[in-house]
Amino acid sequence: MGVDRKSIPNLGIGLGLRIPHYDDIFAHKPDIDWFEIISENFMIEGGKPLDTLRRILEFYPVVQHGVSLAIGSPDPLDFDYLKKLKELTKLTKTPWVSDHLCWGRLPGAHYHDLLPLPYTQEVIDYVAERARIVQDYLELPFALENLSSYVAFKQDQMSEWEFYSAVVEKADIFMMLDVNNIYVSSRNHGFDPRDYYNNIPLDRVIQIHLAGHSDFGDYVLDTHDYYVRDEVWAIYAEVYARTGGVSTLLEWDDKFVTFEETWKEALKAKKFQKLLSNRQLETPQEIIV
Amino acid sequence: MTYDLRVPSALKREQQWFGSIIGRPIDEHSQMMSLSPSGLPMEVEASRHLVPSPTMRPEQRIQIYNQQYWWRLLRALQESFPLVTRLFGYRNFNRLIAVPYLVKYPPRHWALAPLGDRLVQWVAEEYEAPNQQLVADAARLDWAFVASFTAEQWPEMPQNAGEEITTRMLYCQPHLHLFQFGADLLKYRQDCLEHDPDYWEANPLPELICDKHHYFVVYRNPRLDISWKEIGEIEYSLLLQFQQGASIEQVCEWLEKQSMAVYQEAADHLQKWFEEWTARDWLTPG
Repeated sequence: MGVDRKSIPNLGIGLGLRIPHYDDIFAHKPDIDWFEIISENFMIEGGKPLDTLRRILEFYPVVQHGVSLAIGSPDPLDFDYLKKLKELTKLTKTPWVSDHLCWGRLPGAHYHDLLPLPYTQEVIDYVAERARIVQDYLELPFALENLSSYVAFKQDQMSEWEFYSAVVEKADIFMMLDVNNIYVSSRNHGFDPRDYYNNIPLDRVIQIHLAGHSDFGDYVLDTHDYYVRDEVWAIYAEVYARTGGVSTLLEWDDKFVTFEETWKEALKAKKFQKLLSNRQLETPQEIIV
Repeated sequence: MTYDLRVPSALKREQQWFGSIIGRPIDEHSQMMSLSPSGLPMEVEASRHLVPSPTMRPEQRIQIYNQQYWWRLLRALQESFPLVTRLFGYRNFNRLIAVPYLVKYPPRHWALAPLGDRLVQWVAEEYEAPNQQLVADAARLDWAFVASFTAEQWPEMPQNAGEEITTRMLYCQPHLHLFQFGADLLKYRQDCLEHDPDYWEANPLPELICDKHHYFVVYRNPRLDISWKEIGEIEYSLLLQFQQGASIEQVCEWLEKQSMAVYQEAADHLQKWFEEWTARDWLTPG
């Protein structure tokens, strides 16, 4: 690896910075390890969002997470976008930058969604080359996040975890592993989550995402609007222990509960971290029991 | 915009197909169109590209993306145009405004915030109904609040400007928007926004009294919130000059060409106005 993962800090437990919580944060300065921002919300000319970010930076470390790079899109990499992204990293001093292993644009159209890619060797080559360029350009460790997905392509040649592993290894970048997404995709595609995390290079994981989802019976949607489900905590506990401990973040983006309640949910992660530091469990389900 | 020369052709074809499906409007019950763009039943078309899951057929699976695309964009437009949404109600706003707008002008920017930047233009081009003027004014006003929120901040006016300030080109801050309406549309907007669109579907909208010309400034205040202020016609005309770029000397020359009444009122108030514009950070040397 070009950058040693051990040199990337474990920031502890953080929260996604969201507008409904601003008042609580500024009034009480809660003892939160770090915040993650959606980069695009602050890649703007001026006004209140940037002012808020500057105030947050006075008290907390901030990590940048993007939603619009759309690295697997068929159009050329957007260097106007990357330039703005890099400018923001100078302000935030983010220790790494992440986005998603997806596509989202066609020439002349932006879908504002994290769309899944076909899992083929030629797509690995294409995306890995672009990911390497992004990391070099940003001059920061760059991580790609696994998606929640709802379709699978006929042309797929491999599993999602084989595809994900191959892209990050070929590009020599990092993994931002969303354990809720592993669960959501496992339900939507009918695989065992253990097959996923048993077969990815966990030494490349530099951050873990936690979130809630919505179960519609026939499918599960990654909604970020509820507490983290027990099955997801179980995956988290296993993955966290095997990584040796990496920065953990709770995303909550809709149907907001109080700030206190949100932070309490994030802090549950500590329980699962401690459990596994005390003993090795046979299966993650033991923790839930 | 073009394609990356290195993109695998199979990937490009799959993405073009995927985009052609999810970009098509869903119906009022949020269902995907039953026929594909090529005229095949969607279940046939989707099964050529996608595999089923243990619980869902290919066309059901891609419908999730079709719905997510439209729900996300419609919600974003409703948030950007709260007055326009209340004039129609959610359902009719989507049907008459948002969906036809997004079909003609699909999102092209990586940020969601500029999604509505061509809605005013679309209303002028495509929307034909007796309330066209009100919808156009409401769209312009709603968009000013959005644009002002994240507009660039140019340098403030110098505190101790000397004589040279009279010849220096001055501008309005990019976050400042000037409006002339035939009614008090800002008060009307404020009244409408007191309730959600569903309330106004069940109750008559506030009365819009078209009594006289009203002139407004929408701007970002020092707390970085969006404010508005009603101003007089002459003050509006002067700010319009600065919005296009003018020196105080040029503005005075323009005033000399106006009627005596206008000239006199401006002469009586110009210093006070100028102090207020500076205090509110409306003007900038650029």
